[in-house]
Amino acid sequence: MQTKLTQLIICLFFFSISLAAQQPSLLKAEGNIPDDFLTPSTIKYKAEVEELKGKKSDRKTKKDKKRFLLETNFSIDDILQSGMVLFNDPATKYINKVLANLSIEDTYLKSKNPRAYILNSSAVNAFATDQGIIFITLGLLATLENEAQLAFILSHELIHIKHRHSLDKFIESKKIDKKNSQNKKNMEEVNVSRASFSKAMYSQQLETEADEEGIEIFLRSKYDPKAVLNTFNILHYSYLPFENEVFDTAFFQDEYFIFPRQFWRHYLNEISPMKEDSEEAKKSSHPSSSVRLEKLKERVSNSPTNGKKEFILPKKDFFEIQKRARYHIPFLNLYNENFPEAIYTSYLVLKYYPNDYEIRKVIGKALYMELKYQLEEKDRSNDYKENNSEIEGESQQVYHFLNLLTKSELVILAMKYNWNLHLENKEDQETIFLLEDLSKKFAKQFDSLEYYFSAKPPTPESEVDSTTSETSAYWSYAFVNEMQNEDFKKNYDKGMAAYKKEKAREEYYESNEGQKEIVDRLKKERESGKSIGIKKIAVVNPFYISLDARKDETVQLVRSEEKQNYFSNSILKIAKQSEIEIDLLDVTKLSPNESEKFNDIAELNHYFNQQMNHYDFSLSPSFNQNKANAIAEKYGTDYFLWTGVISLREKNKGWGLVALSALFIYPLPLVLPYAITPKYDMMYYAILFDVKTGQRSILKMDYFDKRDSKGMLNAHIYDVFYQISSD
Amino acid sequence: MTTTTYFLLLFIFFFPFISSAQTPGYLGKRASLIINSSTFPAIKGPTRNNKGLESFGPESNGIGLNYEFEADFSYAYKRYKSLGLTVGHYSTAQEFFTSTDPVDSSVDGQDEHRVFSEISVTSISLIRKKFRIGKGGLAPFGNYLFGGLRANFATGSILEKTTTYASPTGADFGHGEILPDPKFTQFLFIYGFGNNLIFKDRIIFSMGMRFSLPFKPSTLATLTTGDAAGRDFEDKARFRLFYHEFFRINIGVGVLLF
Repeated sequence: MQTKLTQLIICLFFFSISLAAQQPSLLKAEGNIPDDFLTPSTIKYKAEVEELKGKKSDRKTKKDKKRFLLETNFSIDDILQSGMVLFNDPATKYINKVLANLSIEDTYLKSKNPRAYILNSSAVNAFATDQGIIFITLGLLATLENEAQLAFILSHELIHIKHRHSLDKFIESKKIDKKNSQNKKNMEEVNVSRASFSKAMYSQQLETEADEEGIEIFLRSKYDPKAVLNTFNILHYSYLPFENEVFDTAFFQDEYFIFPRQFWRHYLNEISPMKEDSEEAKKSSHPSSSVRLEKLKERVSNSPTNGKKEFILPKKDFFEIQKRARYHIPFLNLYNENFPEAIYTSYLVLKYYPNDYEIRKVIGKALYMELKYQLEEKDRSNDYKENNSEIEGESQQVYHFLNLLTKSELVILAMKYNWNLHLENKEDQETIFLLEDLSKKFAKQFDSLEYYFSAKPPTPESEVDSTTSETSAYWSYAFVNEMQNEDFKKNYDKGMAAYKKEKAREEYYESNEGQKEIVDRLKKERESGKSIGIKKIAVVNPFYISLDARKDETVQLVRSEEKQNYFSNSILKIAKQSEIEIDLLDVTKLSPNESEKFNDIAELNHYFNQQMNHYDFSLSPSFNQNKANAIAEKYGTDYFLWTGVISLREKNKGWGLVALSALFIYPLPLVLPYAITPKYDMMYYAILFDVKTGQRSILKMDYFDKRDSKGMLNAHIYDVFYQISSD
Repeated sequence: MTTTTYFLLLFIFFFPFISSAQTPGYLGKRASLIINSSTFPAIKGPTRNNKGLESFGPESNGIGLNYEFEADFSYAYKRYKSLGLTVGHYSTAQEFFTSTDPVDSSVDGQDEHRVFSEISVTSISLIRKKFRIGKGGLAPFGNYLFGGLRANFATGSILEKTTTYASPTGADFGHGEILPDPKFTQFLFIYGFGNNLIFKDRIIFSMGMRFSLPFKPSTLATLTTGDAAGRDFEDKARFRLFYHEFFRINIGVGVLLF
């Protein structure tokens, strides 16, 4: 008996472990941070310029190459340090294993030590940099069907590195621009279009070269050549979600809450077939997929397939990675504010993980954010509403549905969906926070719960007649089940009280008295600064950019990095002098073993971007509020500071006046100093967020017509800390 | 203006600004001490060393600089405002013509004197600076405008003179007392602008321009007439100081104290 019990416990233990292993989670960077992420751009750039010195080329080309090295190193580092790139995670390790299966014979290519990273983006894309880095997006991983297709894409990218295509493209682009600028001005529009066409043509040549040579690398490997054929199909349909499943129109319904038929499209736009070379394709950076496919078909079909496989690594590894990549996509769509796409891809992912709470929360958040946009009538960064009719495939059902919902219907749906999520996990702070705001909006739309939603549930004998729902207020049955729950009613009352309080506050601030108070407060704050009374904060990625309007390349990349370094160091130094404890979360200052901090910075970047996008909204919970809360706990503070400087050296404009003084000499003593005095501008910003509540304090958003001297920076950094720490 | 009125005015001018507020100073340091040299070329009247376009002597003695050394103690009492006490000292000079009756009363006419006199001034100023928000100023750092009150405690003494006697033998007998040495206080409004740069988080380099206007408009009235003759030494000294004070360029170096 005892033995059987022990066996049962062991079985249960392993069962629970296997369940936990199935529980998906978002990929994140792990282990040591690679040098690519931590070496300052200036050092990389200078090392490459040194290499350039030994090589022969004319002065102009050398200058262009130097500019390319400067721009490419800084822009790639911007991507690497944005937190959008993963390293040492299972997916990155996997693609690097696939990369290792490709034999590289070229010496230059070998010297570049090709390596791949995952880019946390839903776009279906891959690209290579001159430094030997290949970026593969999660969107691509989610869409590919087998390992061999991934290997072909990596082979293609290796050729871009081998032939330094990005450098060629840069130099060619400069040449085209120069030639273009020499033409007459009245032909400007024609020239621009001709220039972009020329650039596209050149880019297409390079892509064709990468295809033609990339296939040779691929064919030398043990991967099945036929896999290539469908790769182009996948790339062509990259605008579609990773699957094209019928959306169940009953998804948002329950036994009483049934949407009328007109919410759903009976005829969906068909997915357009792969076209031959079109006018549109001629302007693209890549040749059309059908053309690319045609060019490789013969080479592929003539290649032997003996012993060649779609999978060299364990097949389950690929599908595990694909599944994890797909799990990411709804979150990425949510971050990109494409709410219909977030809902549809969540729906797809729920097929694998039907009970996944986090994925269902993505749907809850998407409904909530869609509602906010509709209520605030704010312009969208992603105007899918405009392009609704162009959507192809099954996902258009969701686009159509969201488009038809009125504000009242949307608030009901968002409320119902999120309330039921809350019932499943009452401890989830994120849903509680979201419901707080949502309940206010719900109360604003419906001033009485009983009046609008008191419809009695139909008796078990009488079936719900969906035709009746279409003609009457079908939504009055929305909360038949929820109305049985006292907590739901209490939540409504709480929302109503909060709404009334908010309304009274708004009315007060619209009154003369309230306006006066605002003006007085702003005046006082300008005179005296703020007094927040916090002794510990975290400073996230201090930002610095230096511009010089006198030069063709306005952004001074090297100076910006130097100044950013100084800015970060000053923040640390001045924090010690002030009565404030800080944690500096700066990617450029991380040591290799701080990948956790790297992930935190990535998450905080998301948080900040979202909050800034919705600056004119009332307080919003973050898309990943639980993570924000966890980060706040980890660093022992709820307050995170985003601060930065934009400095500008302007053109001196007084020389025209000096020239005029040649005619009329007397103003010269006044004009001359004006002409020779350098003109500077700088903007300093510092915004402090309470990441748990979303409340923000703008400590500085100041524009000065002064140089960004060290004294100036120090004075204002201290002032920010002083405002934060003083009571 | 009586001294009482003067101090009452000072009180009214400064009191409202001395209140506690959020004052970051520069890295927490609000007090500064700057040694200023304020200077302007001697155009009207000679310097103490008899330099300048109107120097004492038969002809012009080149270009000279009037200058004053000041110790300026300032304290930032608000984010953008500071209050300072400045103590300074300078000497300048003036040349004037006056006449006395001959010692020998039988002689017609007057003994004419060309006098080179020193005016020694100790000054105290109270200055309120307003640092410019739009220029990124935060007291005591950055660009500022200022206004204040200044008291000059001046004494005059004759250093040199040349006399033309009415009587050919007058020199043998000397002459009467020319004018008594003056000792007076002059009050001025001062105003101007400047810039404090800070290096190494401690050292201040200060530059600026200062203008002033005397309290007594009568001095200005006489100025406009250009008729200085016939008045006593004090009037002439006040007159001279006005020119000296009217416009200055300040350059100073100092430290942030606490």
